[in-house]
Amino acid sequence: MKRIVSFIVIVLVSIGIMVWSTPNLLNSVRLGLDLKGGFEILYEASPMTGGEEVTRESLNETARSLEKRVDALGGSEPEITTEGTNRIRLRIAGVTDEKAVRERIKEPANLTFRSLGNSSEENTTGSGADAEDETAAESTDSTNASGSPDAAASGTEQEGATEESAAQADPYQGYDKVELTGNDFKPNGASVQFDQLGNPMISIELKDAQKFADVTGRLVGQPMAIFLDDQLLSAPEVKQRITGGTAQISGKFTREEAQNLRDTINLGALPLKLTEKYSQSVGATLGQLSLDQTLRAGIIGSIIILIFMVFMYRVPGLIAAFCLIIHTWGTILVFIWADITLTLPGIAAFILGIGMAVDANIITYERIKEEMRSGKSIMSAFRAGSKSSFRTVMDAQITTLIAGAVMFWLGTGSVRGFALVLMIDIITSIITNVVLSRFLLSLLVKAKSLKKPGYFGVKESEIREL
Amino acid sequence: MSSKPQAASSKWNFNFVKASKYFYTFSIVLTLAGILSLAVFGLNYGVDFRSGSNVDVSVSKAATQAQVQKVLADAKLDPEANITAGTDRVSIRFPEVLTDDEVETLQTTFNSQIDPNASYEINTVDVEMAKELERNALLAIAVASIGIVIYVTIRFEWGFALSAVVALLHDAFLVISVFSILRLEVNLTFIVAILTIIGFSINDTIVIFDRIRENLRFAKKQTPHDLEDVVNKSVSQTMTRSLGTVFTVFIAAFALLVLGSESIRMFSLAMVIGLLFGAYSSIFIASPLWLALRSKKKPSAAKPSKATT
Repeated sequence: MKRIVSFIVIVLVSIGIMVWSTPNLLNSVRLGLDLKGGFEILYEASPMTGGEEVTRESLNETARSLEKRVDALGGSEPEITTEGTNRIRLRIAGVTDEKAVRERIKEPANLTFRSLGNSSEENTTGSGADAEDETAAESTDSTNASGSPDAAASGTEQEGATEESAAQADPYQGYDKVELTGNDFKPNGASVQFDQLGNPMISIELKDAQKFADVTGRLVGQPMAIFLDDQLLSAPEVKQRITGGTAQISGKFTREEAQNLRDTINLGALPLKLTEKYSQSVGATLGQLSLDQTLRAGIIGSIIILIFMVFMYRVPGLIAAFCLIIHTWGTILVFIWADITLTLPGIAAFILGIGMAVDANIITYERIKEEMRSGKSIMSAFRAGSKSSFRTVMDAQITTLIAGAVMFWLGTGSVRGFALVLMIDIITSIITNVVLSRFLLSLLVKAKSLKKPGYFGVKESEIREL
Repeated sequence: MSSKPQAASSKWNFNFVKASKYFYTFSIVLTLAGILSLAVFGLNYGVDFRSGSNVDVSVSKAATQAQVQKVLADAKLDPEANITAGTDRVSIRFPEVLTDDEVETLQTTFNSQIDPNASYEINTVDVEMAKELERNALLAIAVASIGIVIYVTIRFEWGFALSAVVALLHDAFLVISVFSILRLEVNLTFIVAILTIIGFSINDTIVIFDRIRENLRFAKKQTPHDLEDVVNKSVSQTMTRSLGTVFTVFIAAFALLVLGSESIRMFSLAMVIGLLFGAYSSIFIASPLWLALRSKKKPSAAKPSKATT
C-alpha cells in the first residue's frame, strides 16, 4: 500500500511541477537565429598587409572588438566565437538593422595615438641626454574606461587649438591630432612587463625610432591618448623624449587590463582583414514558421509514439509515456540551465532523442514479456528482465554517446549543436527512461498491484508451462 | 503493427543467415550502383556546397515566376537565377554571391512589387566552408568508427566491432548513394543526418549483438551450424524490439518530413531512408557478417594466439 501511495505521489508531484513550470520554461529557452530570425556570419581573418601570421591573441582581440562594436549598435546579445586559427563566427538573433551591423564590422580596427593637437615646439630640444632611459612614459589615466582625459593637461596651453574639437559630439574628447597609427608599431612588439613592485606595464616597440623621438619630444609633459576606433583606452603622459624606439606605459593597470591593452596595440599594429566566408540570414516570420512547423511535427510524432507504447505494453507503457514526458521536460530544463541555444538541427536531434529514450523502455519491456512467457512469475520476470536489459541499454546508449562526443569534438557549427543536444538527450534518457521508469514499475510490481500478465500486454495463452 | 502480441520468438522464425546471401547481393549491387553514380554524376550539391546566394522568401500572397523574374530585372540582378515560386514561399538561387547592396535592392523591389510583408532568409556560402565541413564530418565518422570499434572490442570482441562498423558505413554510404542516384539535394543538414543515422545504426546493431553474446554463453559452439542457430535465434528474439524501435523513431522522423519545416526537409528524408537501411543492415547484414568472420576464424581457433572468449 505504501508503495502505491509513493507511486501516486511521485506521479502527481511531477505532473504538478511540470504543469506549473512549463509555460515559463518554453519562453526562457534561448532560440537560435534560424528559429527567431537574425543572422550568422563566418569570417576568415587575414592580415591587412599580408605575409604575417594571424596570432591567437590578435584573433581574440578582433573578436572582442567586434563584440564591443556590435554592442554599441544595440544588437541583442551577439554571440561571437573564434574557431580554428583564423575564423570568427558571429551570431546575432533578433537584430533589426542587419546592414548597419555588417558595415560596422567590416571596418578594420583602427588604432591611433593622439595628442591634443597643439604641437609645442619648444619641447623638442633639450632632453636628449637621458634618451636611453626607457621608463619614459607614465600614465596619468590608466583605466581603459572612457572617462575624461587628464583635466590638467587639456587646460594649459591648448585652449586655442581645441576650440572646435571641444564640441560635445567629438568622440575623441579633444584628442584630434593623430600622432601615431597602428602601422607605426612593430607587429607583436607590445608585451606586458612588471616593474620592481610587480605592477604590470606595457612595453611597446616602434618601427621608426626617429619618428617616435620627434613625437615624444614634442609632447613632453602632455598626455598621449590611445584610441581603438573612437574609444579611449588610456591616456599616458609623455615624461621625456624617447629615442630608443621602445617605451613603457605604466600606471594602475590590473594584469588583465594590461594584457588587453597589449593585445589591442598588437592588433592595431597588425589589423586583421575580415572576409565573409558564410552567411545566413533568416527573417523573423520565417523563423517563427519553421519553429511552429517543427514543433507541431514533434508533438504529433510524440503523441503517436505515446499511443504506440501504451498499446504495446499497457501499464508499463503508460509509465514509459510518463517518463518520456519527464524526459522532454528535463531536457528543456538542461537547455535553460546550460544556456544552450536551440536551433533547428537541435530540435531534430531532440525529437529523434525521444525515439531513443523510448527504445530503452522497449528493450526492457520486451525482455520482461519474454521472461513472463517463459513461465516466470511477474516479480521474477521483472527482476530478470530489468537486469539483463540494463546491460543492453547501456551498451547501446554508450556507443551512441561515443559517436555524439566525437561529432561534438570534431564538428563545427550545426554539427556541433546537433551533437550537444544528442548527448544531453542520451544522458537525460538514461535518468528518466532507464532509472526512473524502472523504479516506478518496481513500486507497482512490488506492491503486487500488477497481478495479471495482461497488464504487460502478455496473453495467458502465450505463457509456457515451466 | 499487429495488434496481437507475438508468441514467444516463434513468429519471427526465419533463417536469417541462409537468406543473408540475397541481402548481401542486394547491398553489394546498391553499393556498386552508388559508387558508379557518385563517380559519374556526383552529388547534387545544394547552395551550401556551391558558391552563391540562396534567397528564400515567405510571402503572404502567391507570386508567379514571371513576377519574380520582373523583380530581378528591375533590381538589375542576374537573370540566370533559378526561381521556384509557390503559394507561400519563393526561392531564388543566384549562382554568385550577392553583395549587401544587391540584397537590399532585391528586398525593396520585391516588397514594392509583390508583397510588402515578405520575410527573407538569405544564405550565402563560400564553397570552401562547406567542403571543409564535409571533410570534418568524414573525419568525425572515421574517428567515431574507431571509438566504436574500441568500445565494442572491449565489451564484446573484435568480430562484433568490425561487423558493426561495416554495417554503419554501409548505411551511411547507401543513403549517400540514394541521394546521388535520385539527384536529391545535399546540403549541410544532410551531413548531420548521416551522423545521426550512424548513431542509430550502431544502437540497433549493438542490441542484437548483445543478444548473440548472451545466447552464446548457453549454446554449444561446436559446429558452424550451432553458431548459425544462435544468430537466427538471437535475431528473431530481438525482432519485436527492432521493429518497435524503428517504428517509433521512424514516426518521429516521418512527422518531421511531412510536417516539419522546409529547411529540414532533406534532413528528414535522409533520416527516414537511413533508419530503414539501419534496421535492415543490423538484421540482415551485421549478424550474418559476424557469423562469417567467426566461422572463418574457426579453423585457426585451436591456436591460442587470436582466440577470443
